[in-house]
Parts: sequence; C-alpha cells; structure tokens
Amino acid sequence: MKTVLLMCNLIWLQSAAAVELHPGLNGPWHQAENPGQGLVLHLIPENNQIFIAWFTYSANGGEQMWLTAHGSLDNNPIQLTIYQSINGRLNSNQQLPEQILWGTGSIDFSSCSAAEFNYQGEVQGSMALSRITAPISCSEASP
Amino acid sequence: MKYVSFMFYLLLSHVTLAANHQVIVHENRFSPEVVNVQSGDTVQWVVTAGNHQISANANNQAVAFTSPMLTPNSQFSFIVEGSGGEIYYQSTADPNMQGAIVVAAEANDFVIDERINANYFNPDTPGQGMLFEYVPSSQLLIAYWFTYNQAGDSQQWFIATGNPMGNRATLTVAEPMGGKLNDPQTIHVATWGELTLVFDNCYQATAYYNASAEKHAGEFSLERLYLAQSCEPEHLP
Repeated sequence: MKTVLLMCNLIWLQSAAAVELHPGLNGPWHQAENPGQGLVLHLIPENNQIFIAWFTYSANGGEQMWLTAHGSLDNNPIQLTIYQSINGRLNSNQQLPEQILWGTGSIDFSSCSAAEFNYQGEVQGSMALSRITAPISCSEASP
Repeated sequence: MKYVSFMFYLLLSHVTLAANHQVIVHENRFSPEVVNVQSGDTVQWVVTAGNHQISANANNQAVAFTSPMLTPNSQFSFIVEGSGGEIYYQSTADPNMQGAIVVAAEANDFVIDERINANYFNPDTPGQGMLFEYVPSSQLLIAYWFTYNQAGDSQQWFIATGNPMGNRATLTVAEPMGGKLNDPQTIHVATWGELTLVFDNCYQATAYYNASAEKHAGEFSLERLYLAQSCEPEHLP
C-alpha cells in the first residue's frame, strides 16, 4: 500500500512539474519579495526559442542593469545563455553596443504562474518567480 | 426633413473632425508635453507663467510656426496640417523646454491588442529594443524598454504604461532606480517622460519619446523581432 501511495505521489509530482512550453507563459515575472525588477519572457514556438529580458540592477546596487537570455525549447527545464550589452547609446546608430557573454541559467515552469529561475554569471543565485500580470490563454495541461 | 437631418449630420461630422488641443505653458514646461492630433486640428498654447516665444523645430512635416512673445494669460493657436509624424517645438524662455505634436498618419484600422505582445527593435540601432504587453483585462499597454542612457556610458531601462486608443498609445515612462540584483533593497521610481507608440500593424510601429526629465526627445521605427501565428497576414486588418 505504501509503495502504491509513493508511486502515486511521484506521478503526481511529475505531472505537476510538467507545463507545456507555450506562449501562454509569456509576460512579466518576478520574485515577489524583490519588487521593482523582473524578467519578461517570450516563448516563440515558431523559432523553438525563448527570449528573456531581465530588468534588474548591478550586483553592488545602485545602477540599472538589463540582461538578455536565449534558450531552446527542446529542453525542459530550459537551459539559457545570458548576455549583457554594453557601450550603446539611446536611439543612436553612431555608437552600437557590443554583446558579451554574462553567464548561463535555467528556467523551470511548475505552473502558469510559478517558475524557478537559476543563474550563474558575475554572481549566482535563484529566484522563485511568479507572474505579475494575468496570463493570456495559458494551459497547464501536460504536453 | 430627412435632407435637413442628413445635412446636420454632415455638419456635425465636419465639426467633430477638427479638434482643439490645449497646452498649458508653465514657467519651464509644457503640459501635456505630447499632444496627439489629426491633420487639421488646432493646438492652442495658454501661458500661465513666464514670457515665451514658441516655435517649431525643423521636422519632416515641413510644418513651421513661431508665436509672438507671449506673456501670462495670453495664448497662441496654430492649425496643424501634417501627413503623419512628430513636430517638436520649444520656448525661447528655456532651450530645454520642449514639447511635441504627434500628427496622425493616414487612417489605419489596426487596433492595438495582444497581437503586439512581442519583442520589437529598430534595425538601425541593434542591441536595444522594447517588449510590449497588452493586458486585455485592464486594456493596459505596458512597454518594457531596454536601452542605454543619452551619454552612452551605461545601460538604462524603463517601464511605460498607458491605455491605447486604436492604433496608438501615449504612455507614461517610469524609471526605477536604486535597486540591487535579486535583493529586496528599496527602489524609487521617477517619471522619465512620455512615449507615444503608433502601430501600422503588428509587425511595424513608430515610437516617439520626450524625456522631460533629461530634456531630450526623438523618434525611431520599430520592427517585430520574430513572427507569431497571431500576427500572420491573414489576422491583420
């Protein structure tokens, strides 16, 4: 009986963790304890890609910082490469920025409103993400 | 009687086509800083403080105007005849005191909705762009703008919000500052300026910004970075 319960529990855990990677997950996410920063996610099945803009601040604090991340939708959790763009100028083609590798990361969706984001770069850490705005057409059905 | 009603309707239509837009001229700022007009509309500046001579900067509309020197409680009006685009103007009272008139392009049936929820950029200035999110439940448009500062020595990002009307939206641009990466350190949010977005369709748009806090303005084209089924040609108006 205990074995059956354990198996049921394992199956339930597995199905609860499986969320189809689809555009219903698109939108702004953040760690609620750290307001004023977050990630805007866009899953693009047509290109089999996720694009993330991470709006945050420097690790030492004070300066605005944004990073971009890309990854293939082949893997779930999604594995990410994170870039930083530097030396650009607002709306200017006279000073084009250069993109440098910042680090790597992963994002693991457990529902339409919860995900775990991990990053390793200049600093490393994790965030328990929740959606900021209501999702549009998000399905939690397993693929 | 039907004829009279028809003529009245025509007259009413004609009257409502040309609108009047009032701009309050304060000591060192215009309010609002951006007005959206149709060609043929009138813009009226009403001075509440300071002495101002208001004139248009060079623009692609070939629209030019210069007011007489205006004193408090005086006003100046101008009928804007343009083909679509932004006209910046300034006051002699302060060279950094700038406003903008956005003249609507020819009629466009495109309506901003969740089809625009994607990443857009200007091909002339790669490495910066905007992510748009239209929230149907609140009819709110949010623009997440990742770019750099005017001096070109650091990154800068903004969150702009506002309610669209048809194919355009004027958003208030906020600049969150003082935070720390993945840390609850308190931030403060300052208003940076205004951003007007005009969408031709869900592939292309034009952005007009007026950074009142930093005293500069500009415009740029936006193209969608990637396609999506919801934005295929058969879904366009």
